[in-house]
Amino acid sequence: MEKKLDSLLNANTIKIFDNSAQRISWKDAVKMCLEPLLENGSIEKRYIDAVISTVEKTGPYINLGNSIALPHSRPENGVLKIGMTLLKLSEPVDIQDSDHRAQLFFGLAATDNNSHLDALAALSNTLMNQSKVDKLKTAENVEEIIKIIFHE
Amino acid sequence: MKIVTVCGHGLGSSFMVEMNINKALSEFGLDDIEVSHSDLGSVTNADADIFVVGKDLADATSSLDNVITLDTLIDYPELKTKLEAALKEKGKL
Repeated sequence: MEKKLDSLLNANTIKIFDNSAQRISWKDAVKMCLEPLLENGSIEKRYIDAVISTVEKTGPYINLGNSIALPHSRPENGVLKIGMTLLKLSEPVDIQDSDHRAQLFFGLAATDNNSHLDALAALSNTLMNQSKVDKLKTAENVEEIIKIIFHE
Repeated sequence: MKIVTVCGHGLGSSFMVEMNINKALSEFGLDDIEVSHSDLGSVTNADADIFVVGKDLADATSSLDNVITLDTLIDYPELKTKLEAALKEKGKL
């Protein structure tokens, strides 16, 4: 069954972290980004390890460009149910090197090849809108982020 | 004619690029081109006339012909420009 974006991205799955005061690595960002999916039972811990080890082995595939990353792995690597998250950092972190920098980390857990596509299509429409992306990067709280994604 | 977008898992970024291709094709007024997404492990030359990949997969897809390489996966203007050039080369535009 297809899930709508607003049932997946909400106040429980959107997080903001100020990394201007406390520097973090891309691995920390991936862990923080996917943590809410562990908490709500969408994934097993090994899913997070799979994302990190795949980047280490094959490169920064999670980087979409434009300072946006999409940490995700295959369903068989520990997905229990469909889920999405957003971690917004106050400044970009390098994903392995400075050619791959991201500030907005959208976590994705897909149960199969299709059930997440409706939500991902809606997210993609938001991310194609540069003014929305710019606003997301400077948003100061979760309510503001929800407004930018769903109500503008 | 077929276009296939390719990424490592075939779940996320390739689908986002597929959406953008469909948008561009409708702006070009082309409705006879089939677009789908796939993962790196299962794609072969027989699957499409044009493949679209991110620059990080350029080496991994060097055995494929007719590959469009995107610097930024979700940059629509970049995709549209490169797709237009490829379609002109194929005589579709």
